[in-house]
Amino acid sequence: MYERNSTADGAIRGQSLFVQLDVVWPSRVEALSDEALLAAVALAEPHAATVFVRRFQRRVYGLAVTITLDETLAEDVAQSAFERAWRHAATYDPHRAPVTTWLLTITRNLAIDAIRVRRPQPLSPDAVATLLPPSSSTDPLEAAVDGDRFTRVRTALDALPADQRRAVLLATIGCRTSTEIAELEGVPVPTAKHRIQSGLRKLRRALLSEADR
Amino acid sequence: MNAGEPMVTCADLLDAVPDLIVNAVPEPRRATLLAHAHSCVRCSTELADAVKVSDALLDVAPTVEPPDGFETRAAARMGGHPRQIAPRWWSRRALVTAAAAVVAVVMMSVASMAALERRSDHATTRVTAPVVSEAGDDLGSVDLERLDGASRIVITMSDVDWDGTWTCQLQAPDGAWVDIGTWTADDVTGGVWAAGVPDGLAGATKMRILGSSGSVIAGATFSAR
Repeated sequence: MYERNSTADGAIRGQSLFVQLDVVWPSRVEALSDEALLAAVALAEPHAATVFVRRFQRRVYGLAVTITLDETLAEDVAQSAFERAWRHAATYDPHRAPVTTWLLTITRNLAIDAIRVRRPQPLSPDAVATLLPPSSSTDPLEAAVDGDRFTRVRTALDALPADQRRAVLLATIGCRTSTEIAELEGVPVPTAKHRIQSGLRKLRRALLSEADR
Repeated sequence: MNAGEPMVTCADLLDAVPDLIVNAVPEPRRATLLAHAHSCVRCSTELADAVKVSDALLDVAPTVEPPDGFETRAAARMGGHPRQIAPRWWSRRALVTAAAAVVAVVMMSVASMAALERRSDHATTRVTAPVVSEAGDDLGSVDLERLDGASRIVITMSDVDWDGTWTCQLQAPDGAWVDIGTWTADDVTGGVWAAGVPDGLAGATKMRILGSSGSVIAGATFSAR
């Protein structure tokens, strides 16, 4: 990995010109904020695309495989998500959502389209467990970067009754329909809908400030 | 109310929220529900808040290490390629040449980064695409224009019966379809209809037109830019 050095500088020593050529491109791009990095992608800055993928690939692929339950399909969805983000990077509005949310929304929509086309896959009870790892297994890097937002969301989720939490996660992260959730939970569809709606309302009170309304 | 669709109440909209947020409501029911939301502040707020909460929950979605080579393949699709820094050249001539190139790239990068702070758009750009019916018939054309920082869409369809209500939508970067405007025959002059486009949709690659029933009548695909 290249270490940061001063910009190219020269010194005349006698009759010769000596120039130091250590350069900083990879580490400089890696130090950019999410918004600045996305802007660099839009401007086709060298290394920006690679750094962008490296920064978000685990989250994008993780969401894709959570929704599709198919590793091959998930990779295609994740690749398409990065490509779409690249194509629309110039239109990103930081006032609407953080880059992570914007990118994961793209991923979710692509994954939903993919599973709608594919024949329905059976859901297993383990599907719920994979949607929300135990709090103790939180990725320390992820938590450090988005600690405040992540903590708020986890705290709000943990405060929900278990049946509402499962229903909300299956709906929002798992992108399952109310009918699929009802089947998985073994309850009537109206009950599944009620759990989702009640959970969403409680989360709304906990997560959305007046400034967001 | 769309023809053939029963009246939608607030209770209907609220009941459909869990499926609306995962795009699981088929057309034309979806269009009918969204039309109600557009006209009802309470339902609009309820739906918008549900979407915000749903988006916020993405923060806790599981992270999974992708397969080997994913990073390279993804970067390649984005037009990026892993770059290697050239090894040092110790000859005097190569050092001077390389130094000049380094300085030039540094200056270009600094200028690019600075441009992020003061981007302005005074150029006129226009992309045009044919408007094609679901049956594949050419109905006219659509222009997506940007001038002095403002974007607008102009649809030209001369030989069309404008009876009924029409809705134009653009596809947002996240794949969702966003209403740009609705018109009737009274709003059309010379077969041309135009409306302003939010900045976030100025780079849209797909447009579609919905009829009174909410079904897709025609569409257009803009070339990548």
